[in-house]
Amino acid sequence: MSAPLARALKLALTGIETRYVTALYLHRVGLVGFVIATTVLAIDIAGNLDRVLAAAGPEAPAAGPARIALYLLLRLAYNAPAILPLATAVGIVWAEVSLARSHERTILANTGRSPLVSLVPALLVGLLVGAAQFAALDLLRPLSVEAQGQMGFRAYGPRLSGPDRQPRWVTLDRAILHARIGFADGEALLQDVTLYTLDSQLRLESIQRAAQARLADGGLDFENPQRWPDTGEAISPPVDPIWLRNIGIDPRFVTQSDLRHLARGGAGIQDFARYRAALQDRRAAPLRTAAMALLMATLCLVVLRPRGTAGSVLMLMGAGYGFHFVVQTLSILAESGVLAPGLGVWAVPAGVIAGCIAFNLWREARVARVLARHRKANASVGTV
Amino acid sequence: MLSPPPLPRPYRRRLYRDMTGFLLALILGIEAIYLSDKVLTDLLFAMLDHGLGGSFLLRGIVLASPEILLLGLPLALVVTVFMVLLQRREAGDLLALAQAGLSPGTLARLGLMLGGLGFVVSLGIGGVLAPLANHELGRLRHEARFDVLESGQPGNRSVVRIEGATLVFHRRSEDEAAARLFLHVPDAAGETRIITARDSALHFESPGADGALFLSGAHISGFRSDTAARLERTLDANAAELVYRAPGLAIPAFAARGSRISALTLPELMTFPHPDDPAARKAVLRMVLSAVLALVAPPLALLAMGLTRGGLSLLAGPLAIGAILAGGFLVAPLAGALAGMSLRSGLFLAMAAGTVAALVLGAMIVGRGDSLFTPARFRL
Repeated sequence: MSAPLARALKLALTGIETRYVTALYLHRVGLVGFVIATTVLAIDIAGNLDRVLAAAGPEAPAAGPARIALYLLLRLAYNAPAILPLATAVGIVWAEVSLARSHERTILANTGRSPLVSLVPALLVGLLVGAAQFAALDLLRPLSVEAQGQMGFRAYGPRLSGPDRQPRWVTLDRAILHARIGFADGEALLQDVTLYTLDSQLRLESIQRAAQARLADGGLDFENPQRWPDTGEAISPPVDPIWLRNIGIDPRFVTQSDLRHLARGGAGIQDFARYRAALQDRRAAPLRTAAMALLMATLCLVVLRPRGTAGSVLMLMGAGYGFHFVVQTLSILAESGVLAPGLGVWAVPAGVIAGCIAFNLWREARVARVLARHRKANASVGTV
Repeated sequence: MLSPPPLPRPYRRRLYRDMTGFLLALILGIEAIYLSDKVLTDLLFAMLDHGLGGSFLLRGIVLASPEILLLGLPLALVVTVFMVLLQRREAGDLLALAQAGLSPGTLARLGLMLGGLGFVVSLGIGGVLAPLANHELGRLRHEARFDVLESGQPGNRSVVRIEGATLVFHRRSEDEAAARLFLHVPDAAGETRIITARDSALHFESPGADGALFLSGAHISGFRSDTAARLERTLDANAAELVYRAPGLAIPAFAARGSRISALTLPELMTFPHPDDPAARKAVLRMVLSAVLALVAPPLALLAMGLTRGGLSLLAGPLAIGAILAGGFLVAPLAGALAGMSLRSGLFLAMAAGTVAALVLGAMIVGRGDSLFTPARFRL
């Protein structure tokens, strides 16, 4: 790397403006995050206080302030991944409004500073908050869901929230299972269980029925089963134990290690495309937040003026919300298998980042052309 | 008694035009936020679960749009009146008009007139449009649940239960486009019939009648548990094409509009025998209290505009918006409390409280005097 380029890069990453604006962004993002989290938790507890106090999960502490505090902590961990990108967008706009109103942005622009360099704080904050969001998606939310289920605050599948009251139908590889699924000491226990296996043309091949069945050797072990045809041989399609322990739990809430296993697919794992999309969705979190931060910072640099109106701020908020809506919609479509994860999860954030960089390069080139024209005109005036 | 002089007609026309534009933009914004949330948390999942197309989503969005207006309209009214008149005051318009005879009473009257208009519109939306749309949305979702029976193409949700029969749609692999059918029909005699088929479609020959399931590549088995607890096959047949009829093979009818309180309009709820039903009384009072919120919103906004001075300059507007929001959250519990008395008494109390609140706000606006007209160098 050439010395001027290295110096420019060092300045862009650690220069005074970068440090000052990054600190301002982080301060505002933190404040906005606090306000949003407080509002969300206040609305949550107001609507669910009766349910929280009446929760009868085995792990729930005694009803009282401690239980409410624990519930709020768990809900904070659950909601953090949704709050962080929103706080980033609003925090950056708030900081940029202050910079515009105090004429700091005008002064910076008049120093000839590249708009691309002015985007570095947004990129840094986006990646930092994105990393926090990834940690929240990866670790905090699954832990929160487990705890909420075990304490009876919310229902999240038979492992966390108690056995099925009604039998459920589950499609397996060339088989259909009808059973009440529950867990005893962490071990899956299927009750009133009937397994219908199907041949290669998906016609009924056999039936096996029992009062109880457990997981064994990658399949199901039926206790004293009734069978048709009664060949005396046990029938069991492959059932992945990690898939079964997460049955009824939304892929977004599955722990990271389980999700990685399920996203690989394989024998006994159903709907692996949903797990694959959910895993990709988590991995794309830092990129998504960075894209949101860059988009808001770029729009602020273009739209905000020292005597800006509330209308321009509303427009910026609308753009941020529009981005959030598009990203969420595509992510849901990817999880449902309508779109490939690459398109549904990665394409829009990557496109927005590339678009922001290209737009600012174009602006910089345009300013350079204007300056060059002025220099030329001044030089010719000088010659005359 | 002298009535306050009206605003000059050309100015009034421009003011109303600006207010209408601002109000429509705000309502559009509120709808956009509400409907996008509704799409992301509800309608999009329903579309994907039931394997439906964009027309379901579009119809769902249209039908879901009136319900937020019960709170959205008062909210939009309070912001519109506050922002538009604050802009006019800061531009010096109101001060200039005051020299030509504009009095605080004129502004109070404007607030009350806009409130009255808001009351009527809110009652129209909450009392007629919202219940009808709510009913149609319910019907749309109900039909969506069973659409797979007629199309044979499931979405993410592959199990449908009707009248004890269970239909499971499944594929050999995730790449396979067409779904196969697994039909499980237990009968009262303890026998179970299991039908598998390559293709299926449910047809109805006449409305309200049981349907006929048209099956291709069907295989039918019947089973019975005998006394030795063995599974005994009682039926085994294949059919290239099969029309399967069974009692109860019909899409359950969606509850008639008259049987659901939430789907009844205000005039319907006011007629016998509904006023005797506490749930119906609560629904009526919710509609009326929401309209009362729209009645007090404009005078409240005008008062807030008059209070944007000194320590309250940044707080008055948000406080007025917060008051309307809080009022919106209180509508349901208040309606519940008033539903304990007779409909006539409850309505009288709600209307009287709303009218008194609007008049008191009007008097307070008049009491603000010059602060309604003099600019406060407030940056907008």
